[in-house]
Amino acid sequence: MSRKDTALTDHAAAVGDVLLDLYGHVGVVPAAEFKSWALDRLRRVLRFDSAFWAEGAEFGATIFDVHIHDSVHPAAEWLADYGRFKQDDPLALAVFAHKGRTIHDVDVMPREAWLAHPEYGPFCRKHRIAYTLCTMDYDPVTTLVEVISVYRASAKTPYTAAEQQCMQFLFPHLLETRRRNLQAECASVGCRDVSAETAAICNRHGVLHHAGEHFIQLLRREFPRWRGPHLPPALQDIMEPRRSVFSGRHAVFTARPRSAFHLLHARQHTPQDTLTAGERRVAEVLAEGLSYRAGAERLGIAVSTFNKHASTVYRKLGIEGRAALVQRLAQAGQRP
Amino acid sequence: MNRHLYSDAAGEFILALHRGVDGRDASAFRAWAMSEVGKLIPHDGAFWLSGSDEGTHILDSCLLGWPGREAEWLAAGTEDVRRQRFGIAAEIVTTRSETHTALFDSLSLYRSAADAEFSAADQALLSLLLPQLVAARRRNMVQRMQTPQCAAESNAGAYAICDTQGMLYRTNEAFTALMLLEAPQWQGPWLPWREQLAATRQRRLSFQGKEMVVHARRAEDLFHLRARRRTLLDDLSPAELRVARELAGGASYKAAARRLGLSPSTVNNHAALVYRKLGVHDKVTLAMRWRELGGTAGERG
Repeated sequence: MSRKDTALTDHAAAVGDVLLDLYGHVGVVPAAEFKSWALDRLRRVLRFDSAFWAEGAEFGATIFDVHIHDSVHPAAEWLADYGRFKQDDPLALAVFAHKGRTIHDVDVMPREAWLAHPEYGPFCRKHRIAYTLCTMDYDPVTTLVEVISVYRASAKTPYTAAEQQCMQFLFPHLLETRRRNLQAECASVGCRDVSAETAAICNRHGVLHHAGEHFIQLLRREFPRWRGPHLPPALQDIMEPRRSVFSGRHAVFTARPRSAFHLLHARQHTPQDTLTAGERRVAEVLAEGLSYRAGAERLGIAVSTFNKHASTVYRKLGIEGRAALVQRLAQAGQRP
Repeated sequence: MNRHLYSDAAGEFILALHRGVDGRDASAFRAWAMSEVGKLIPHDGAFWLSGSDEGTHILDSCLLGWPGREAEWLAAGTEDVRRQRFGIAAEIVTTRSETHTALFDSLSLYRSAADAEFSAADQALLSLLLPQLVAARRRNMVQRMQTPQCAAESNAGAYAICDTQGMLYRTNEAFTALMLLEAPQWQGPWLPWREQLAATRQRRLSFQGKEMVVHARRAEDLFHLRARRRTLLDDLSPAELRVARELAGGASYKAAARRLGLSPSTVNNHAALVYRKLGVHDKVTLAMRWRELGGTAGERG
């Protein structure tokens, strides 16, 4: 292959890796950080100096989330300056007319015209924007809007057609992973926890066939020197029928047999995990609403023992009162 | 044919791969995925190898295009022998290794026509697609191992997110489609039940429309919404649902009464309503209708 061909393949492989990264970290990156994290990932295949990623409703009349990435001036100032001419932004009108298509600002007007624009000119000079690639998508039914702009500061490096195509290609995936990231943040624990990211699959010799991003993170935190393809020796035991749980210092690992394989799952320690079996029984009885006396009778222990366990439960979970206890146990969901 | 590397078609395939909705079994998934790859990069045969320890240990392999000849393929000594035996004129290959798990995948595409070289764009596109194919195959594996309820709760279905005032932040296509079914003139971003959402302090609530049922669950300052089509089962009262579940599971009236802590005559009354509302006459058709409508399993009598 020629050098140009190799470069093409390398770039495509890098784009493939960015996509994999985006989809693989959907449940791992906190919602408040996802856009920033995703834009930094985008930098691996597309060079830019600053960026803007907004989500809103009513076709942009209401904005409920905005992220300004690496701006020279504080984000609040950027938004205030932009807000002043937002209604007349020629670029916004162009992307609105071509949803899903990445528009290069020079496709709309030549650079000189942008610089001469009474509002856009000063805005670009102040915020060091020489070139912009902007992409927008909206849904006419829900009126939800999403827009991502990436900016370059130097006048010497306009975006190429290939870069425009690449941005347009990645845009729907940035939106899709952002949507899933928000969904993952809202999801409850329990069933939904077992996703490709938090799960792993191994055969009966402990050789991994799959390990999700989150699983690997927790595994490496628990066993810093681990390297695949085998499960760490300490975890091999959980494939035995009676020892399907491994509670480590940082995480809890569980295993469920599935024909010739085991489906593994990892989650971080929660305060509930620090309860002893006796304390957990007391917690469950308390959550049912029984009095201390009735609870002690149900469990066949002395009231004083019940008292002691109860106060330990509240202390370990850092809560007061049964309502909080009910909520905490409900959040923990079913045990796998 | 001039194929763009970063095409809309490739992008949509990648979206579909990562959505991984249904519970296809391993070979059906692979057949579908490779046929879609074939629309982007036409080929006559393919070989997908998954391994461990950077490929020294084979976990799984799949040969497409030459049915029944996989053993012969793996036994062929050298690449030249293989090419000759299988009539291969052109090929491209891409590989991928994972750092921590030492998992390894390689995908090769082949053409048999004499003048059908793969282009540089074909090679580049294959490199872009392999990580997505690998991720999708693994997700498919995990999904098949989950219990049916867990699998049903994954990415499939109609989802939305709104704030505590009832303004939509996100929907997926399925949710929007259901909303339009319910109210063809609806336009967002406000949901029809905004007043109830704003007024409630509960963590969970449900809304029943003419065509759809929505379950809302609070998560900090947002609501997570799951929606589905309304079925006849939604016309049953909670007590009727309980009786229906028992009877659909094969329980006798007496056993159902005992298990539900009701008198036999109460069960009779509920059952009569269940039969009428679901339009059935006996337990067998009830069981069939129950399953059709997506009823969950009860205990066997």
